Amino acid sequence: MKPLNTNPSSTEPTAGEQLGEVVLDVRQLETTFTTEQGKIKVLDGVSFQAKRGQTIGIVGESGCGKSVTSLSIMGLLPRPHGQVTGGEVIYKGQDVTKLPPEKLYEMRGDRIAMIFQEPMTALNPVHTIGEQLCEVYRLHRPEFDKKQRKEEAINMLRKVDIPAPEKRFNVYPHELSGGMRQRVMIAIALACKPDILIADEPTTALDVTIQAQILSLMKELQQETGMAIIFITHDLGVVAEICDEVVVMYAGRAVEKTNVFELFENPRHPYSRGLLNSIPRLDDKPKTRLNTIEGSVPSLAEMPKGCRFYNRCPDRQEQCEHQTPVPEMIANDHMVSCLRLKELS
Amino acid sequence: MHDVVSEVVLSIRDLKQHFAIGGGLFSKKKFVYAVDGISFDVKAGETLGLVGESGCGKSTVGRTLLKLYEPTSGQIFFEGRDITKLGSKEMGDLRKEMQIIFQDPMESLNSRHTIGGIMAEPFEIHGIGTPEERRVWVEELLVKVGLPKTAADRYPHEFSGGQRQRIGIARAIALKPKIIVCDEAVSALDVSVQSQIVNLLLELQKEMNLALIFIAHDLSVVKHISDRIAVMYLGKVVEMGDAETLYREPKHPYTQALISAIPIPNPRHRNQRIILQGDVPSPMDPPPGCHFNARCVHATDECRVKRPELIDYDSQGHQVACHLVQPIA
Repeated sequence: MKPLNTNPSSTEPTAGEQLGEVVLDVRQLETTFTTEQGKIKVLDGVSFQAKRGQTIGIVGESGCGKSVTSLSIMGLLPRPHGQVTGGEVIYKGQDVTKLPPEKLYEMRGDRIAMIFQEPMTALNPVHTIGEQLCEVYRLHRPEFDKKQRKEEAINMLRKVDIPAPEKRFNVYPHELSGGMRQRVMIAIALACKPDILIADEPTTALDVTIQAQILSLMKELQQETGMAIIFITHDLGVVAEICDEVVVMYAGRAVEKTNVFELFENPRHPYSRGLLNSIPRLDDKPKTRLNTIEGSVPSLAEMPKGCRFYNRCPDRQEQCEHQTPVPEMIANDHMVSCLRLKELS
Repeated sequence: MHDVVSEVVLSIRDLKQHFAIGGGLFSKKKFVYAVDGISFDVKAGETLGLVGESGCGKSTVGRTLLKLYEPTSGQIFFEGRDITKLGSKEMGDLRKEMQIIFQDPMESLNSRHTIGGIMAEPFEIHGIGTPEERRVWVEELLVKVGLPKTAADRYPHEFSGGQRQRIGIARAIALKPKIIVCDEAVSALDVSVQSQIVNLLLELQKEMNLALIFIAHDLSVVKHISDRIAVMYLGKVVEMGDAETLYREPKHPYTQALISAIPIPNPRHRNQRIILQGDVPSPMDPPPGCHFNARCVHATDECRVKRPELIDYDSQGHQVACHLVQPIA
């Protein structure tokens, strides 16, 4: 078997590649950070699958581990403090968490790409966006000559609907608006037609009208290329808009995982319910009390021993304080991790 | 019917705030028309929501009406008194009545002072009470915003974002103001905590009959907390009205697009968006005619040359600035 493929011709869909096929299998992922307070498990057994042509959302509040999940997959954890200490991430039959750095380097930006919340911090301010796009091809498509690189780059800019791409090729990031910069980021990420795109809060810093543009662009490009998207966000409105499946995370654990309709219509974990209930909705009566989840996410050093949602859960019982809930499948594609699941249904 | 609720606390009339940039030896002086002729009233016990995209001038309105910036022109009235021309000394006393809460409480709380010290400051500045009295008041305020009394002896970094915002609110209400400007006050918070803070603001408003100006880009939150909403685009109000009506029947094409772009937490509600093309133009050289014309699908020749005025759409206070909307009043 050839190692992770960097040959562009192999990225064309073949007979075996179908929509819904699993392209990335995250199994029982466990990530530990070494801090002054000792070793802290920031991810504790997170599992999900990214499927071809589909979008899986990872949703949760700050500190739930959603960004650490993406960094663990990409091998971008801060060294030496962060380490994947358990589980595996399978891409094309290989565990990417165990790949040597040079193999990871080949894969990142080519087969698995990533976009972030703030494009200005990811783009290099002293290079034109054209140079930054060409850099991707220089790294991952060494067979391209200069002219080909430029052609492809301009093609990508056109694909993400940047007006006058030939002219924009020569501008610097600061000359573009936030929405345009995010388009450039997407162009860079998709330059090599990756199988998987990890999008970490890509629209959080954008205005709603621009967010709507970017979301619709991402959907369009997904339909065209069949890439799997892992969409990390805290915004349940965005989840409803773009995701097929959703993992709800709380304090480093996946508490519920199901398809998007089931999550919004039949949430089973008390945290998912609380989260869905606390968003203001446009059809609410104005100036009424919003539902809340009491308290706030505990710091990683003061995590409750049993269920991590214990101190905020409206349905907690004694057992929840000491016993760790185990994920249970309540339907084909519906996982819930709650000790009181049966009583609460 | 005449009750306390209807009393106007703050009015602005044709308020303008133009910032000069450049104007050095070699560059021509240019202006950013951040706020370009805005008028509204806010009553006691009422929330006016200000919404719009980045750069529309909503934060500048909030700061100018508190006179944190000197307005370029126009008038600001506080309880009927024209305060536009007051100097900083005369404003001093009025500051007690007008407060502001910012987005990131960490940046507005001095990290080297205890919460008790930070919160006693408003009393110290205005020479109110003895140190012992202030300590009691600080503890009362902390309890009021849902924090333990012991918080007074701790430092800002020991608190979570939501708790810090509670401290920011406690400080803002310390001197029993009549009006508070909330500038993206809940934007940095997680949903579950955001709803706690929204509830707290609603409770305090009721209890103290506070007027609130709620500036935010999250339209669902603004809709929830506001009685009336003003939609801004490039320094101007394009539509203003009762919150319910505005969301149910937006008249201005920009308001329509803005509301339709809100991601609805319901997966069966997809693909019903009006997707605006392009970005907000620079407030440095706004397009001629209606500022929105370049992004508006309905724009006519008139829209490209003539600027629409904000006029009454009905007799219920719904106002729209669009050539294509015919008033029903």
